[in-house]
Amino acid sequence: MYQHPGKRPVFISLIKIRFPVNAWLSAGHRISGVMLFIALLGYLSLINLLLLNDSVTLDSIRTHWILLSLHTGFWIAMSFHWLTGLRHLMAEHFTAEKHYQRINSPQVSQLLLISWAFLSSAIFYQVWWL
Amino acid sequence: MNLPSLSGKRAHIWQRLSALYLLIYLPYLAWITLSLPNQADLMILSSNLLSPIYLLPSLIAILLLLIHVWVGLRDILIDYTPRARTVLWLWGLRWLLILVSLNLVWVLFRLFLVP
Repeated sequence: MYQHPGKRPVFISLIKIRFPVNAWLSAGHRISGVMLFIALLGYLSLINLLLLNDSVTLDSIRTHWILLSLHTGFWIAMSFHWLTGLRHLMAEHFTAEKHYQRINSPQVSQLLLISWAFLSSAIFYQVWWL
Repeated sequence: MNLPSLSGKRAHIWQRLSALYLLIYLPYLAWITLSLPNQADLMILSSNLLSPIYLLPSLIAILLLLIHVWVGLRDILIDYTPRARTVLWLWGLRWLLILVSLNLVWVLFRLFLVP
């Protein structure tokens, strides 16, 4: 690795580096995975609360904003993680150059983001308005 | 636990296998969730997911989900935590997942075996 002759630390501003869309999607896959794990801990806590406290029922908290936010966060993160995961799996399975390039093309990335936006809107509508 | 003992190849295989299974199971979970009545209580929700027809696929999904979480978070910790503290973080994650697993067993026991 390159080292400055004076051994001074080099500041690398992540904001100034322009990452390709695929790099953002890959980082997003990890971030959404962590979010899903946190959401699952939230659901597990909720089940524990329901089982341990008789005065709390699912009906009584059904429309509480915390539960609705949990549903929204979980399913939006899930849809992103699912879509980007599908692409990861396809890229590993279809290794021929022609297919690999197509799977990793900007068009497929855009299609993925559009699909996610559509799914997220549907999730918002389903959770908050139905 | 030390870093060189963690196998990347085996973890990768488990990550792929669990991903393939969850890729199919999660749309099914979404479909089940959408088809449930709005007023369903906890027992109805859990009895749908763990009814005799779906019990085995759901239990496999829970098991593979825990494996998927372990490998995924393990890789993140190896990649981003300071080297000197990585093993400590991995032990923390391991114990957290053990506690989650024990809690899941208790929840399943309470839901289905305690009248």
